[in-house]
Amino acid sequence: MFNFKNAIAVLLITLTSPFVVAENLTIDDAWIREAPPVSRVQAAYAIFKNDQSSDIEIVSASSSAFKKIEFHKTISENGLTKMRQQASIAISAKESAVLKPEGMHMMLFNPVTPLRAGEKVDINFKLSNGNSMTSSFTVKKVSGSDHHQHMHH
Amino acid sequence: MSKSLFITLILTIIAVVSIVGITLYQSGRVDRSDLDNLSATVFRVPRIISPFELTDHTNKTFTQDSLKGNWSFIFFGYTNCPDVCPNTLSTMNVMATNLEKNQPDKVVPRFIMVSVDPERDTVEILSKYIPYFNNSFIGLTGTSSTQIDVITRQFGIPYFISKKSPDDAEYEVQHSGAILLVNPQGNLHALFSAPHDPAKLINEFNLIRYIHEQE
Repeated sequence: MFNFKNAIAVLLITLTSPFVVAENLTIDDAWIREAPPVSRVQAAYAIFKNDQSSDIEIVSASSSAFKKIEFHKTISENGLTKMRQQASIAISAKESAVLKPEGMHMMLFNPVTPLRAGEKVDINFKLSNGNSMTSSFTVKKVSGSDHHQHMHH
Repeated sequence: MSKSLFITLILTIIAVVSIVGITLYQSGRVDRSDLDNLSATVFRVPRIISPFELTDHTNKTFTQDSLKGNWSFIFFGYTNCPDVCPNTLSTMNVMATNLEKNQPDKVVPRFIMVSVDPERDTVEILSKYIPYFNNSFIGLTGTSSTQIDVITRQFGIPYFISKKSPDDAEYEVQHSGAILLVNPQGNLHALFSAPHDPAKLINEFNLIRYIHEQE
């Protein structure tokens, strides 16, 4: 028997699912390092917190503000500091993935327009289960004089 | 043991330790063992830097002689580096700001970034990049990797230009994250391995400098 309420519910879920925030994934301290005037690349950092009892995998990231976004990990090997591209960001059940300077980070290529400290940029994440979520990242300038200011935020 | 005897004993020990410490400091021998406990690697004999010629971000020639007269912290990097280089230059800026404020004798060292990507990092690019971090910082580049290699080889700094194809414009340059310290005589004095903590770098620099000035 046709159930109108259920049909609406199914329709709503179908229509909105690509935009639904994965309920148990939160993104904190999301920021983008302001690029020096000539740099065409910059890094984004955040803390991804998985509150559910199963693992979450972020398989890609995109933003209208950048040509492309890759996941990179800064590693030290044989005296060389290198960036190793990662296929995804895995967040184990009930754990957090921390993206931070000189560690795991997102590499943002070719900003459409140069971004200045204080501006906000949306980054969209696609998860391995097909869901996606969008989070707002704040551009920050990290330097001696405002280093502490950043810490307090 | 009576209380007064105990106190006398403690005071004697403190006095002996202090005298031995001061004597060893003055003899210039304990310096070395003190330096061994640092996270920095201090060269037993500072290394003479052979002639090199680079151009600074204001388009002036910079040679081994330009390093004389002041301490210099030197980092090797490139401007299209999203994470480690801006992070290290920010660390250096924290150090510079701190030393300007707190150093009693106002001895603020030079802070230099040598580009390991001369193909993209022209003088013009560096002239915009370097002052973003600090107006007193110095950026150095050359017209070819051969020119850069003269300094990286003798500083023991490995780097690798990792182009995926000949026309790859987004290439990464893998490089050492170390910061080197050159003394006012223009000799290579110490090496700090990454990761870098500005407070620790300042403390160790002050000790290295003190011991060097005693020698």
